[in-house]
Amino acid sequence: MVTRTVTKPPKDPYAVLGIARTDDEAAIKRAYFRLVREYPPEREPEKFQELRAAYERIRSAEARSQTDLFLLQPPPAMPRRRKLAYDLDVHADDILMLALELGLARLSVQEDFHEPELPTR
Amino acid sequence: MEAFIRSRPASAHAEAARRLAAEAHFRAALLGDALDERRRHLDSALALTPDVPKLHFHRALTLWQLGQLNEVLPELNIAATREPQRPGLAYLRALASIAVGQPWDTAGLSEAEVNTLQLVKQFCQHRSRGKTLTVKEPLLGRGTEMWQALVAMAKDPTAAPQAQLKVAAEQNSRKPISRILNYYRGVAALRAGDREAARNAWTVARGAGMNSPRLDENLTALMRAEVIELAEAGRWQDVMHLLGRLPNVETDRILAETGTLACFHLGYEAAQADKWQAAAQHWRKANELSTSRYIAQNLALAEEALGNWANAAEAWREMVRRRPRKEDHPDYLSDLQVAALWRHAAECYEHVGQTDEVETCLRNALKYAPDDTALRLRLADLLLNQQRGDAAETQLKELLAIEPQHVEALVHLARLYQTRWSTDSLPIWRQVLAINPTHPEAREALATYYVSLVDPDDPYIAARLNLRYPGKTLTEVLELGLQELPGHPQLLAQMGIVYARQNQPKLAREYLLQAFQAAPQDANIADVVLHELLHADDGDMVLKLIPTVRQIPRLLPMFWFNQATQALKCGLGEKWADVFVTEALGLVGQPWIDDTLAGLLIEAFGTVSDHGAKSLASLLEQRARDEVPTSGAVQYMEAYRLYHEKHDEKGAMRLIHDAIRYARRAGDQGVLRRAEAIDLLLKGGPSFFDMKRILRDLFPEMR
Repeated sequence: MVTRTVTKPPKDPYAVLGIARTDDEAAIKRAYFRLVREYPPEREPEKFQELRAAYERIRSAEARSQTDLFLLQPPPAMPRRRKLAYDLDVHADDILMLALELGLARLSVQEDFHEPELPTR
Repeated sequence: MEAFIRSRPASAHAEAARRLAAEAHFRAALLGDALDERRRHLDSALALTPDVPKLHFHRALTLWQLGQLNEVLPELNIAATREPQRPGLAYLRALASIAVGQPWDTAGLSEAEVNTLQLVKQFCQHRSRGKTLTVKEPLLGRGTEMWQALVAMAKDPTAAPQAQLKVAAEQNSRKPISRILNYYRGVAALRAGDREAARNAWTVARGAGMNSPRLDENLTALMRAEVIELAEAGRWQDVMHLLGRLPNVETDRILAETGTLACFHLGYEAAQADKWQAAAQHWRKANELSTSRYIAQNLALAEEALGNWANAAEAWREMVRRRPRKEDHPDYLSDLQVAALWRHAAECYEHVGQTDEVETCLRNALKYAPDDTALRLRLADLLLNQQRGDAAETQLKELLAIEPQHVEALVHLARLYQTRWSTDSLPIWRQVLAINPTHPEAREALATYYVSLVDPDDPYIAARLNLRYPGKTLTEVLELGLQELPGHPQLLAQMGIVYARQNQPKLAREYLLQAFQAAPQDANIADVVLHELLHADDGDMVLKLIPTVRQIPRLLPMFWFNQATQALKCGLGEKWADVFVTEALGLVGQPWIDDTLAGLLIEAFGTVSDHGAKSLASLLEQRARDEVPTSGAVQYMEAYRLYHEKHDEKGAMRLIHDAIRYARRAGDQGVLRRAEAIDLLLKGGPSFFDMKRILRDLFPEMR
């Protein structure tokens, strides 16, 4: 049996609770209770369910370690990279090479091609 | 030729051969581009004719181009000794002397050569001794722009004479010269902050064969600076465009890492916008370039979002492979996390039916979470589905060793044992009941066991009973069952049957009623109770119970037809068959009944006719004539009689065709499907597939 059902990654519970991935358990708890006061179950049952589900997924370290495995991971920031220094000097070895090539440019290699004299019988 | 020379080394011919071979090596050397090859040919020529000055001259130049500067001057000196007037020799000797810091003289040099050499010497001493640079014309090369530009740049580190160098490179277009000028054009451009021009000039220099570490380093630094700045500004798409234009990105670690990071970011942006195809593409690329487990994780999620389950599973596995193994690493994964990933990979494979991989992943998960009973049960389930009972049994036993009270594992094991002759499932079912006395499957299994022991119609009952319960009667065994499963309706009903067979109608009625009260909505129990009450001569009770039986959810006409058949078979009277047929017909119109009154009438007609209830059959036929005269039911019934009573197959077929025609016209599907089924049968018997279709049509509840 081959299926091609698709599943979207589950909602990010950190985003639902409006906290950072790095926040500790106390911060998670604070955020949850603040939101629950804002969206009490009797007035906002759906929102409350969403908050509750998100909280349950990350409320303990163990739950969090499992949940994090199946969440999209934000890419890290660009690390500080040292830029390489340029060499913008004029170098004598380049000038020597230039002078050499100027000298060579005036030579004709063909002139050095000679037919060797061969002995007659 | 070499063999010839060796055989007569002193002869004139050998000498000529040597000269010829040396010339051949010389020409091969100068016509080729590779410097090492050139040097090898020149060495070979010199070995044959060591006194030829042009060979020393060109060997010196080759060594110079190879960077072996210390060997150049001695070679040029040899050439000068033997051929002092060789064109260019004086200039190159002087240049070589300057290069190695030796004195030189101006003898035999032109004014331009002297001026050029003096300028070169100033360049050589400019940085070390702080000598000033003075341009004195004439100089070698076309135009003096190149010298003026280079002098200006050497004097002032901020000077950027790009235009002059451009002109110089165009005027001196010979590649070995122009590439040096283009390199400095790039330097000048970068001094002026024009990276694009610098990159272009350096790319031209490299394309013209410049092979200098300085050029490579500057180009790398330039590319890296551009890429890093774009990345720091979060312009990831531009980073990718630039990297796509650069050569050898993968050899520069920083560039490669930045490219991977760009893919990571672009994938994340796409995923946030719900563009999973694009996200997956970026992360696939990143995944190839990087060993980050986070990229593998995101890729797996993107593949899942696209329904690419096998790819997703592979990415999860890759994530597991990439995890750091040291416990103090911040990205270390605990055993439980690794097990969760393996389990998830198994689920992905399940989507595409790759059971081998599912098994591998589950087994791997169990290596990291051996006490995870749910995981072990899943593996056992998989093995059971693959008919691998022994392997499943091993897993179930291991699970039960961890958690002896695991009901599901016990149930799985009991079911497995039920399929074998060699194993007894009863002790396992009893274990299940000890944990959960109301477990329906365990109660059912045990009840079925007791009922099978006391089936009064089984010819081997005495032997069977004696084997298990020596000396016990049927009712005693059932009492044991009822002690174990108090109030079980199947056992109570069986007790009623046994007493009915033993002509103890009072006790039979008592137990049958208890069975009915224990399961008033169980059609199987109702079936047994109604029929056995008639045997126990309690028709009044049957009539009393019928309204309750009617309440059984989704009860089908077949239930009542079956009661009618049993009543006729057992000779309980047409009256009861009539009662039951009436109940069946009363179901017409219920939402779960996919049949018509006419259809059920001919069903009832066939049922009672098959068991010789002629007057009841006549009543049903009359009812068809009165209530559904145009449905085709009447023709169907006439055909039935013609076929069975007068054996007139042709006449029956004609009437069946009439029934079909009527049913089509009336739109009566109940008659139509039955008549068409009979038509097929009369035409010479249906094929296997027809038979299946007929059965499906006649008994929709079998679907």
